[in-house]
Amino acid sequence: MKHRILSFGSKFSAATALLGLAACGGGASGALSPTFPDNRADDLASVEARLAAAPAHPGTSVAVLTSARPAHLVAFDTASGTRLWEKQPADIRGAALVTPTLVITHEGDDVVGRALQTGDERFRLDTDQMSVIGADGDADSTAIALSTGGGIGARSRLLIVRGGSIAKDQIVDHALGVPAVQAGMVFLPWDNQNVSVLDAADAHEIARVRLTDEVVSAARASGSRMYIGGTSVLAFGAALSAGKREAAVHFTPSTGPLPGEPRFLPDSYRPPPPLGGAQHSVRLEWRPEPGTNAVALSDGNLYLVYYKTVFALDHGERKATWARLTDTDIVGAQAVPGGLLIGEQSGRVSLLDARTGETVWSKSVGRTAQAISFNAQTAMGSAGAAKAADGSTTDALAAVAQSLDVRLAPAQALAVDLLGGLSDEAVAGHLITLCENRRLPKGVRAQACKSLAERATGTDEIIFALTRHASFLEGSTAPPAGALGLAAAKAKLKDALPLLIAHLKDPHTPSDELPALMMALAQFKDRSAAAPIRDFVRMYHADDWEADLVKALVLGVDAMRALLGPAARDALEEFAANPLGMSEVRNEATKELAKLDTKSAATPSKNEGTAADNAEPSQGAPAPSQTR
Amino acid sequence: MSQPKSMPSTPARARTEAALVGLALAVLSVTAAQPANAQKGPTLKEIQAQLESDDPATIQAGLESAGLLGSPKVIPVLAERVRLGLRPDLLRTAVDTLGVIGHPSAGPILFELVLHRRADVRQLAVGAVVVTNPPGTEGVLLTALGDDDPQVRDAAAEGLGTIGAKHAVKTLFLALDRGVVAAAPSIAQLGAAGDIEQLLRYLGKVPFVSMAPALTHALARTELPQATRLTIVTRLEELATPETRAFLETFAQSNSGGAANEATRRAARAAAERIVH
Repeated sequence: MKHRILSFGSKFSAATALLGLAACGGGASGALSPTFPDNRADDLASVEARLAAAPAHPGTSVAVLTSARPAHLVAFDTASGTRLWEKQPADIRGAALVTPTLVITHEGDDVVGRALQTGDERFRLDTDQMSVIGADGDADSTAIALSTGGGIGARSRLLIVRGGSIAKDQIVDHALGVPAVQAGMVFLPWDNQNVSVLDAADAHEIARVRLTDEVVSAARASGSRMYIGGTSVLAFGAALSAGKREAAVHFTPSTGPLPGEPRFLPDSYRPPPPLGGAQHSVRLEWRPEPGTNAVALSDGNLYLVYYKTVFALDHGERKATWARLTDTDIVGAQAVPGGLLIGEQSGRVSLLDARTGETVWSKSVGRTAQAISFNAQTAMGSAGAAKAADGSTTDALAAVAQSLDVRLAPAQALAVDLLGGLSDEAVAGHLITLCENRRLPKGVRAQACKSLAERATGTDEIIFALTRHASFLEGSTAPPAGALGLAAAKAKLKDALPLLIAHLKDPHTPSDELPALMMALAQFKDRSAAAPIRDFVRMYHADDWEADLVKALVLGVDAMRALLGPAARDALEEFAANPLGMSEVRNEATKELAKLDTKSAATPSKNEGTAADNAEPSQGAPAPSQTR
Repeated sequence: MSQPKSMPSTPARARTEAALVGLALAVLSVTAAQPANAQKGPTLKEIQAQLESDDPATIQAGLESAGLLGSPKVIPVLAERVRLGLRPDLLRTAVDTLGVIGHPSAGPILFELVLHRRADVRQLAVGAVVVTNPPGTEGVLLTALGDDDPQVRDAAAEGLGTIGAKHAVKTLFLALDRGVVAAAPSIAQLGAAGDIEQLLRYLGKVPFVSMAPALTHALARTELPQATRLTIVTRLEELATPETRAFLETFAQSNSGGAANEATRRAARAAAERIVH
């Protein structure tokens, strides 16, 4: 049976009537009444008890593929691997929403409900220029929220479907968020701070939460429990009566900046993403479950999807459990017990193992997709069914970091950052490969070199890389001597010092490596580096060079003073006084001389032993003789 | 001043000769301006004073004077001045001067300059190393053969042939495989009969204009078995191009290898006639 929207006048009358009913006093039956009391512990406890007594959210194994170009809507049973039905809707907007009994779509000016298993149209209503914000259901009821979004002047519509037809259709002057349905109750976020609990049978409001320190944009059912949140996720229960996130059982991710900056929960007060929009491919997925004094993440994973990459972040922190590259962009995903469901643009639907990221199963729908929607609540495959991982997390992150897809640069940078956080000895080798790959995006390479420079493990890899020099005949390239030098200095790798000096003398060491190389040589605090540094500065300081080499020369002057102390005076005076030398070196030498003068004025020399004590380095060869 | 070896002209040799002419002209202009009774060579002390100047023109004059002096005694002074840092034009003059003096004691400073960050300096230094030929030259040139600058590689490849580095043939083949066509003439100068036959396999793969100098060297080497020289002629006839015909005709008309090579020249003449236009 199809319904048609009331006229605007009728809607206005209906809204006025609702408000009038609400104004009659506390506990009014109309939804979202301004006088309904919030944060009542008894109300919330009652809801919590009702949740606990009810069966777990049913979910569905059906995935729905949505595409506008070409236009198709396809329901696919992931359990049997069969296509259930296919439609060619006109002007479909946004991803389909999947509930245990219905598929909800926004087509042209209509919101359309189709039976999940057959695709038969159950209702079609005019959206009255609202967006379809969200939908969810249990075995008996489905709640659908439409809204104009925004703040002041927002208008929304709540539909409750029972038995395949519209049971309730209410207009409200609030912005609605994504609803969830569990245990015969509709959990409805609205106006950023509020969550109303309505009885699904009659839309009667039975409890309300109002938070003062969290924006609530969505409700989410998981198992037998309900969760709400925006930037954090809070367990729905009596503890919410305090009206504060901090007083409730909750979880807030601490991942730091992520590529694309996806929200922990969607911002449903903004228009939903269009088909083909980046939000389908840049998203966080996770499944809440009860934890000790906090909401836990199922399998300990927060999944980041970024186009063709998936990262499993350990307990919502900036640590990688695993990473994966897919063949085509991911346009839908959902965390389930034991893994992550993903749907790709190619129409392939797969389950990735929560522990390893390996593919548990993968099936092709046979149609391309701009969005793929799920509403699964149970494990979708055997946890032990994933084939053994071909490589480690280290290898997987390195593979992501070396992707040739230019859109993935932010994910590559994250992969490198996560790689740097691993203690695996093999990481150094991967960072070296990434740091010296000049075809990588600049930011990715810079992150790799930074992570390498900060690393104090993988010393064998560092030494091995430093033994390599560029040779046309051998086809070898220069290693990233600067980052390697800093890593060697941090690890106090004395064996690296002569190798680094060799790279300083090598004309094929790229100029942009020289500043870091010079800093590394200084950090060893070994006087044997002073003569090569001095020779380098002398040879090149009277020429005209690019910025990196100039910087290296200036750092070389600093290094000489740091390594030799007062014994550097002759060389510094030579540089400072040479009118044919570049001004940067002259100026730096003058500054370093001033430092020496200041230090010697502060610590007057008493005897030779004291002057030797003033020298900053403590080891290595004696100072080179000054020849000019 | 040691004399450079007598050999066919190479680009490195040509640059050194050009530097000598330049220095000579500079000296002539200076001496022409002086009264006759004041014309005498600069002293080592005067050159040192000039090189220690802060004025680039004075340093330039000092470098030229060092070349005019031509004594190995000036090399330590030159080396010291180079190591203290010179702007590129003066540095190039300094390298040329060291090459013109041509004494092996310039080896250490030239070896350092073969590793200079400027490719043109490295190239000049390679040429000067070849001319001065100090101990360790072969190793330095083999390293320079792997330089990332093609002109440095070419200079090194030529230089190995010039100094007679027979042990470098294998590396020169590697360089030729990597596209350093300047390695071919050196292989032809240094290689044994088997090496020449291996070199002939590059005919048709390397442009003939690059192979021709190598073939000229090989055909002139009468110490190679005649069979090897005749094989060269035969391979060129098999190619049968206008370039190979012209090459064979030129060789046939030359006196390359003297009387000992008469049979090879006859064979070349006959081969050229059999190549149809």
